[in-house]
Amino acid sequence: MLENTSGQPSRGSPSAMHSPPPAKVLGRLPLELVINVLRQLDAPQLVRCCAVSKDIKKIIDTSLALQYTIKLALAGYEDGRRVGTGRLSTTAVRIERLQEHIDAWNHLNWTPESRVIVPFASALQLAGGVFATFSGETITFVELPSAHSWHSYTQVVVREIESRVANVDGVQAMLFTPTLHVRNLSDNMPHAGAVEPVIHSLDDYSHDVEVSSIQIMGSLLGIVYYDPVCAYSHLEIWEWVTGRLVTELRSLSKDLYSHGACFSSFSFLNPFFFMVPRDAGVIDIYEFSVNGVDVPPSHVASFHLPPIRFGASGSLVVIAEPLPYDEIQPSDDPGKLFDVTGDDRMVRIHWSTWRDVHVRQNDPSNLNDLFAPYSASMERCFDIFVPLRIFREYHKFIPSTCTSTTDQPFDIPWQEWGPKNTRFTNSPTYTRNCFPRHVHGNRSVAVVHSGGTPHLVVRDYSRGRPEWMRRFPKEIAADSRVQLGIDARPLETEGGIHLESNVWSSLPYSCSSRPLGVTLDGPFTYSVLCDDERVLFIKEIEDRPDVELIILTM
Amino acid sequence: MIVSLVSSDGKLYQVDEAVARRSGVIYTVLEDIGNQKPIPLLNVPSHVLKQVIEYCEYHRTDPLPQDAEWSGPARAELVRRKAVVSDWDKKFIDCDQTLLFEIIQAASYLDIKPLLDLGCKTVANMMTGKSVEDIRALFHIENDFTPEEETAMQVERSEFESLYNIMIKSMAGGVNAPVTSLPIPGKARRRLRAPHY
Repeated sequence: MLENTSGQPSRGSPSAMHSPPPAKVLGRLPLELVINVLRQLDAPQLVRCCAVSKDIKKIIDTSLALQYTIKLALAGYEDGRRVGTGRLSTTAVRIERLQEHIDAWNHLNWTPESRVIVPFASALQLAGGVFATFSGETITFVELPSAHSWHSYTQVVVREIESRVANVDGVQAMLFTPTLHVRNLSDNMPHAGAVEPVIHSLDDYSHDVEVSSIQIMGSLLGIVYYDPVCAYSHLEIWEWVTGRLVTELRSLSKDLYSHGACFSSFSFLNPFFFMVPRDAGVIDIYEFSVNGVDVPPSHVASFHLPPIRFGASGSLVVIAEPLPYDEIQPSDDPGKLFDVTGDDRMVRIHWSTWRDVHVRQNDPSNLNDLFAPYSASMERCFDIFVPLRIFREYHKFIPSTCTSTTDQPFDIPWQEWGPKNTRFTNSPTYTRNCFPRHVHGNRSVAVVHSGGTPHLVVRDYSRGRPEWMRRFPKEIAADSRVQLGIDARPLETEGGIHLESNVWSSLPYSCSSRPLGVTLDGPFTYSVLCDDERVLFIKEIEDRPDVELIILTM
Repeated sequence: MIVSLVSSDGKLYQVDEAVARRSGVIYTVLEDIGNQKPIPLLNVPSHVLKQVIEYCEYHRTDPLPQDAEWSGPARAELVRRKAVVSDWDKKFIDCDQTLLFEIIQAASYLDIKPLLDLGCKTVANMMTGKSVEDIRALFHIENDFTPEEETAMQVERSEFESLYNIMIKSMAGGVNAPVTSLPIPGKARRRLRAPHY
């Protein structure tokens, strides 16, 4: 038909004459089309639309899909992929699973533990239902029990790959090692989709470099290593599917901060930005992709931690998990039904500070004490819990009066971003320099001793959490053993001899705690980790080089 | 091959088969019955059908969901483009509200998914960032709540929105608005592009 071939949309006049009675136009669309329109809106907008008219409110209140959108937002989650037409693709199943999931974390009424014994290792990781320890040349995997079995790994696998640090992506079922062999978890074979070996640059060094951190985000892989001879830290970001070096970052000694410029970890923020914590107590945000084009990292902002006292020094590590980025998942793999949104994801920043102090022992009989004061290094560690969105939205902290036109990064002092958006806490010092990742998604777990009995404490930092608890109050106190509440009180952390002043922080979280219930008797040190659907305690066994995993599953 | 379509008010339109097949309904008819006689479209008046055909003409080479290759790279490409509405589409859909609603209904009746999505997204964009009163005014909807009900909902709403304060602000311009629009001049502004994935 070829009335109009000019390629420009034409506006027929009939429509203009065709003016309807102006009543409830949105309501005049058939029901399924109104839902179609409403589905395009985000959760706050939907809640707002509830107030427009009774018809619309009724649609929103009765539509499973729209309720699912609202519930996901309240829980800080986003919908996973829907593949094909299977049962897991239906909204009804998903909303049910989401409710189960939230209930389980509220009630902590979890099935009896299972116990597994694995060799002790200095580095450990829990991701997507796979627990891994790395020690020397041995990597041990344990696939953990699951309420809804979404993955199918073999039970216990022991690998012999030369490695001190590695990273497991439980969702994609892959392993990344410092020599950057990408391997399947199930059979230890090279991953079919990966170019291997991906990185040769490590081979270029005649001396050993120390790989300290690996992180995965979809098809991107970042690796941080330290070169002890040249004394610089190096970050490389690779695309492991094609073997292409995307970008790299070096800390040279002629860097802006010659002292404390080194870094030993990093984290992706999204496919455009990453963050690098410098030992000087600054978290730098770099942009490495502009409109889908890779560029050399450009330093756009610096988040400063509370000022440290003169004479003290520190070291800063960000402990982050693999970021899901679903573009590269195989098209028939549903992955997770829902997952924490990138914005609501928490990172834990571990800050250890130390300072040399002179100690007089006040012992009059000891003459040495008078003349040669004993010198000691006092170490103190802090953990800072921050939602990833704070770093992603760094531009929100830049004052609108800022008229900088130079290439200098924006400096954001602690007072601007910290007190409201973080929880700044004292951290236990890990004797073995091991940082178990006890933060997962928007939750952190800890064991707290209160009233003589150890309690399992789960903190949920998602933004919608208080609102969820207000809307669905029956969840609270469903089980008398569990205490559930919101904590928005500001917390004061003493600065002592390490920081210039005391630090206040007040990011609100909800907290559920219950008596531990599992027996952690005997002389031991233990850590606690969590992922989507389980909590895992690591217990040392006396006189053996092994540890016992005690696993609680929802 | 030419397919004849008859609108609800009896006007005959002749279009290429490739264009007609954009519609899932016509696709099925052509598969099942074949192209023998004019296809009556009882729910689509001629001024709407004209618009719909124009849309299909322009998009005649896009991959069809019925095609086998849909699941491969074509789908990935479509998913990627979903977030971005092309200029032509924007101009096409920029029409008065009555016609917009009629196009949405026709797209739904004829089963043309991309056009349906485009229409619904446009309506959703019109609602995004607007207050309740604005939405009522926009669509001529009467307020049928009692004042008490309204106050109760207002409290609920403001609490929810304060939590998502950041989200609402950044969404205020709709899907196609620039992600950030900060009062920072020059180079600084350039570097702030797309900070939020």
